[in-house]
Amino acid sequence: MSIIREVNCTTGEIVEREETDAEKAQREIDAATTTNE
Amino acid sequence: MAFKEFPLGPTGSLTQIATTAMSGASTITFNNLPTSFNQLRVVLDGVWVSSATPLLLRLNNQSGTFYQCWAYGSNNGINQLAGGFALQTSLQASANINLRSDTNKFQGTFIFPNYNTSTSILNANGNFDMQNSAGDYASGLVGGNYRALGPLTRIDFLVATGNFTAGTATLYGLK
Repeated sequence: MSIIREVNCTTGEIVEREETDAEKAQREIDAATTTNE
Repeated sequence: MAFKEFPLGPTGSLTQIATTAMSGASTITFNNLPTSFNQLRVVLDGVWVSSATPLLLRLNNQSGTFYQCWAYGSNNGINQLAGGFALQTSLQASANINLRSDTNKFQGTFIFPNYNTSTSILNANGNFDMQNSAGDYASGLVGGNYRALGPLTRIDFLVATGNFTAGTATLYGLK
């Protein structure tokens, strides 16, 4: 499982959480749609 | 004929808002963005990625296939990249060239102009440099937009596969 590191730019707090299944699936879609030059 | 001398604008300043290490994460999120600046900038420094993926950028967590991207630059000093791409589900913050599966190193600065308005579409532009473990390199300008209005409240830098293994991401605000 991948980690998402979230920076709250108002409080300065940094929180790590595990990537959800939906977010993982979205990254796979991103990879598929990324343009190859 | 003398050139007209334009008056100087108001005094500007660049303020560091937040910074974070990138190692171990696949996504770096800046959320709850402050609204008191005219422009935001993110500087990525010494960013290593352990997979053959370009840097990607998501605005306001939007993931529809409505990102228009463009890139101009050079590849090993030989080939020129130029053009706009088909619509994607994220913006490219680097070009998808010379990437190797072991290590790729990036740096770049990305600008989010006029981010705090509800009358402009979400957009970003910037520059990148990369070098892979074989010594191949590329550099260029990238940018694009997403078909939705601002204000921009969240910025994500991510890799489509693998993780960041080193580097820092720092957010600045420009008044």
